[in-house]
Amino acid sequence: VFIAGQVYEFTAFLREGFGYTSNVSTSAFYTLTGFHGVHVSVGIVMLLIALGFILRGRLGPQNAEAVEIIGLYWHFVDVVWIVIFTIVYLIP
Amino acid sequence: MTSATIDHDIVDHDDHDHPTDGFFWKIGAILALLTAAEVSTIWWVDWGIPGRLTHITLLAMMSVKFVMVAMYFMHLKYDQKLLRTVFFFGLILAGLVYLAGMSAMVIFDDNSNVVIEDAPYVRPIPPPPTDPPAIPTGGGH
Repeated sequence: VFIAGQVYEFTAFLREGFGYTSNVSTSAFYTLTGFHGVHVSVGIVMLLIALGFILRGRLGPQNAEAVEIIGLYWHFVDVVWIVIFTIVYLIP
Repeated sequence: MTSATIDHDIVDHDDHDHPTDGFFWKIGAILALLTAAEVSTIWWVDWGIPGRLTHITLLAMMSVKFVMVAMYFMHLKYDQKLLRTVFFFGLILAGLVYLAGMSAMVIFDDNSNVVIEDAPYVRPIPPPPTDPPAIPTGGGH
């Protein structure tokens, strides 16, 4: 849902003429949110891989550390979004 | 929600504290409520609430959410103190570098407001339609 919303948002802005090089604000916006979208995508892939291993019964207690690291990565991406959401989207 | 209520949901297994699933649901619910409050600030200006107060409230709610996710979902609260120190040291350092970068680019005015002097936005004008190339006419037959 997040990635779909971001694709829609970027597309709408580009149609309005707000490109990456339009001005400093658009450059900062696309860099911040774009990098975040990439990190979210990487996180989704990692979670799906972990889910695949779970469904095949190949993820046991011996893999707890790997699951832990994926969880930490995901929540770090989450915590970054908390800042981006406030700074970029909510504070006028 | 008091911290006493939250701590009540921590059960002790082995030699570590492990929060229960219900505990994480409570944290999630608090985060959802805070996010709803954040989004509601869009209408605060219509209710006559000063913009500066809105900004301060938003930054405060952002900080609370950040700390909650870091401490509970990233379980820094239950890790060694060293890890917590490293995390928040990096966070503070990043914030200071960010502020130093903004100061170096001279984007604060005399009243400490952030001023970014963007070039004025001009909607791109599409090029005028061009006439199709003339079809060469062959020799007269």
